[in-house]
Amino acid sequence: MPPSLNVFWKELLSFFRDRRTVFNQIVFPLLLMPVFMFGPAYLVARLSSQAAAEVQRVAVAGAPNELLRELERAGLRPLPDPDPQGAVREGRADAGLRYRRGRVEVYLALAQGGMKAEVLKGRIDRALERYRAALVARRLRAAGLDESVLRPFRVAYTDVSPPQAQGAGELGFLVPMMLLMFVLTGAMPVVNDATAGEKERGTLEVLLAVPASPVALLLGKAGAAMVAALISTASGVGGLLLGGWLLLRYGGDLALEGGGGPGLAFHLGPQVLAVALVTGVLFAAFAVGVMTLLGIFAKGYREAQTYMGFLYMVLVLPAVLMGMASSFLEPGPLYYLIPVAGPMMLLDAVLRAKADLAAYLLAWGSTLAYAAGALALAAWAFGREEVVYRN
Amino acid sequence: MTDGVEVEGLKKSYRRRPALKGIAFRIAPGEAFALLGPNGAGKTTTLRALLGLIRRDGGRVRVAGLDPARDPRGVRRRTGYVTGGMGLYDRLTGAEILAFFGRFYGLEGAALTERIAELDRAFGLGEALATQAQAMSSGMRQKILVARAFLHRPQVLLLDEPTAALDVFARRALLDRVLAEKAAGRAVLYSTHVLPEAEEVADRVGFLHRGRLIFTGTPAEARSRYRAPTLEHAFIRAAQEAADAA
Repeated sequence: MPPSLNVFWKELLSFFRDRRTVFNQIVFPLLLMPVFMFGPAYLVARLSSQAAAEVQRVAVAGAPNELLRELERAGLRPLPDPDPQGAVREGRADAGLRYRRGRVEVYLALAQGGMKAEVLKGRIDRALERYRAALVARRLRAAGLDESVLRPFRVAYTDVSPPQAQGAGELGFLVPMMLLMFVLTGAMPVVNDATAGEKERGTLEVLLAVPASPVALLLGKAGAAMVAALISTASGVGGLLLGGWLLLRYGGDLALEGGGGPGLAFHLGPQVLAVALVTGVLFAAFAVGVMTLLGIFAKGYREAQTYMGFLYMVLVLPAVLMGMASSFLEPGPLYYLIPVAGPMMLLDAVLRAKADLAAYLLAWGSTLAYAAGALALAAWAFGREEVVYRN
Repeated sequence: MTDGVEVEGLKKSYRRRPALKGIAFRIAPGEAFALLGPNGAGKTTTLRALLGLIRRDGGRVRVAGLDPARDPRGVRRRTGYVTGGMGLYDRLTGAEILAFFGRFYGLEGAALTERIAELDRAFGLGEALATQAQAMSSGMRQKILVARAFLHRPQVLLLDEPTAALDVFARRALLDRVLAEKAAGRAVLYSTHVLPEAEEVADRVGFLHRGRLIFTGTPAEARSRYRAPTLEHAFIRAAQEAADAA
């Protein structure tokens, strides 16, 4: 068996036997992502429907009977009160409304009421709009005009973006960021154990004393870390897809933007998944290369964790900002050459069905080059006694 | 001499701080040479230079007839190395650790299984073979560490503080094994700061003090030259003389 393959199997065997790491890297994302996606959405929907079912009290002063009827139609209970503002403050009513000489003042505890206050505001707005429309219609008729004079044309919106972009949903921009983070968090424990962990345990010197080149040993370690990172990423993406499916299946309006819900569900087509796989592999190679370099340089496990945590911030923060900015900006071709951000923007562009050949070539080509550079640096460091015996 | 160890004028510095200042010694097949010195004397540096794990700054080194600077993998194929640490791969069993290292020396399949069985008989590995390292006692760990160095039937044994973490039983077993390997014709370099051990296993000793080999000879010659009742006393007097001369 070639030395690199021998090391590769050993590292993977150690990884799969570490129950805590396996749970954190594989089981946890698969279970946690659906909970994160479905749980809050379900909670929001439930609270929202509870608030909708509740008849809320509105303290009213000076309102005409027609407006009182519209308030009742909107699911509100008007209560005559000479001081509507005081009624809200003192808790006698959920909202207050004063109608005085063509001016309506509405009193709400918006900062304290949260979702319930928002629902209440929506109902009052609806009642006032209906009352306003009725008044306008009457006045138009009195002037001999038809209501249609106010609506010279109707507006109909149709989403013509490709099904792939529509499927990404409102939170589709999260997918590239998630993918990147899954790769980093998946690779980190394996790289740490295979580099700084070997130093700390005192096994590195014995391993280096075998008749194999340091490059072969390093490639075996890097390969195992890449596989672990990709398994962890697949688990995380699987969790996202499972969460999306649960929302579509059981979430009702929650799943779909424009259906009254927050549009949390997304489904990724085969093309997006294929691009995600290639991008994930290349990014994993780059991340493993950088982490291996840091792990070899570190004197021990803790020092390596510090470097890698810092690396996480250095890499992820700009990438997250770039990912968010890409919704508003049209990134030029050179943006795809930025390490970490390039692959993220490519995935984002693919999700929006905007990626062209140049984007693929630049993002994948540059990531491959950075990965090769990082692994070459790590291999160089692994053969340097000043680095290996730094402690 | 092609199967043993030859060192002439070996020099090594770390960031201009000399660790070895031109040491020289020879070990013939079937001979055990004990490299003695306190922590920081340069013992581990010497062993690393013999394996080609670090670059030497000067001098000539041959291990099993090969120069470790030119053919480090050739040297490592012919050398068994035991460090003083007790580090093993925690989630691998003893058998898996031996198999992992055996594959680097071309041992596969039935040959590997048979060799591990031989080492089991020779070292009494027993339940250590089926136990993950994280659950092994220090005695079990040391047996696996030592057995690992013998997997490929090396011509030369380099032992760096091999009893550092051993209890009395494991230490006795290891010393007996070294004596047996010496009798089987292997060249043994035994690095330690536990001088009574060296007196027991070594045919010749070398006193390493601040990167210089200040004495080489048999334990009896050391006691005689420094008029000391034990090797330990001889070493202390040699170190004092060297310090006074400096």
